[in-house]
Amino acid sequence: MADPPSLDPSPNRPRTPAAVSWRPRAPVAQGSAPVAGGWVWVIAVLAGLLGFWVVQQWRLQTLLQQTAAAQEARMLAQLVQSSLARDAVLAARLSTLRQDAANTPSVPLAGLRQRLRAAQGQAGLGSVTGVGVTVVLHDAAGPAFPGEPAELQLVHDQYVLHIVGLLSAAGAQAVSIAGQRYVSTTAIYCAGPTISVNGVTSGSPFVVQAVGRPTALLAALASDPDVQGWSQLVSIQFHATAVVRVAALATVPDLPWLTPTGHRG
Amino acid sequence: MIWIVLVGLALGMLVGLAFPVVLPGAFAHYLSIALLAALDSVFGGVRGSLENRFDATMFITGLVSNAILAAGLTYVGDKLGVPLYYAALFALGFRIFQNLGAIRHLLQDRWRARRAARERPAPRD
Repeated sequence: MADPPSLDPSPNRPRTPAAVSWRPRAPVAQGSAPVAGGWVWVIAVLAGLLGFWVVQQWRLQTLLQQTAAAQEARMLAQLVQSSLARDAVLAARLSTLRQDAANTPSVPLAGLRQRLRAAQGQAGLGSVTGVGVTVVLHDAAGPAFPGEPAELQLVHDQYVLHIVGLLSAAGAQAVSIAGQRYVSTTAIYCAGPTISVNGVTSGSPFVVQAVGRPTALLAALASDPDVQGWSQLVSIQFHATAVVRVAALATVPDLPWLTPTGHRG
Repeated sequence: MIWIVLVGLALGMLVGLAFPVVLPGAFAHYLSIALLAALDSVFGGVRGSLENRFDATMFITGLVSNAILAAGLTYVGDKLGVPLYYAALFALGFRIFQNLGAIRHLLQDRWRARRAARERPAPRD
């Protein structure tokens, strides 16, 4: 059996495979082999070099670790310095802004708030309360005429759309359909036997409420030939209401294509 | 002999402590593995000495050549992108621990043999 390959061909390690283990095959000698006198000094010098080397390596590793710590400390110091500089810049900017604010003449806010409230009401972001009208559209309750199609007995989205348009044209400030606020982005369409408004479906009867001058609104409804015709098929009733409260939009539509300033992006 | 070696080692350590310059950091990687190879040879020498197989010539040449080879292989491995450092580290570390175990057992056997000889009754003339 050949010796296992080894980096060190030194005889200081056992040469037989059995002696590779910790226990030598040969009897334990009582003492070391004699070393020639000249070699003792060579080994002593080598030991000295080894000691020098060990200490140097120790010092080198300590130095490297200290260097790493010093680098980290320098980096942290730079971070602190940059933070302080940024703080100073921001403080200067704050001071400038405060001076500008102090020098700016005061703006009458009451008028702006009033205009904002009005704009919010028109945009559907705030509720509107006042006198108005209530329109109730109901599917036909009576028997159909002979040969009358079944869809003519239902209230359709175009009836609601037309009435909302009439009310808006007659000066309604705010309109709601089945509790849903009507705004510029509102969609009204049939969804089977129901009608969907702002994504919320509801069934007959459909209650349309509008805040505005009742006489004008009622006159617009009563004089419209379409409303008169549809009233023969389904039930369309309207009357003035003393207090109509049109709620704000339940959820504000997400319009990412609008920039914060209100212009289209 | 052991005293001469120990004195040499102590002197070397003192000189290393007092030396005004530290070895360059770029060599730390290679010097550490060379030092490990040298320590491996030292422990091998101690074991050979206990087994009465110590050969000064082979010890010295083995120590020097092993240290140079270990550092050189690590350098070549770095240049080739092969981490031979870890291979040498594993091999040398394994051998050091193997030698240490053998040294411990040899010393233990020797101590037991001496105790048995002490307890044995002296032969009558």
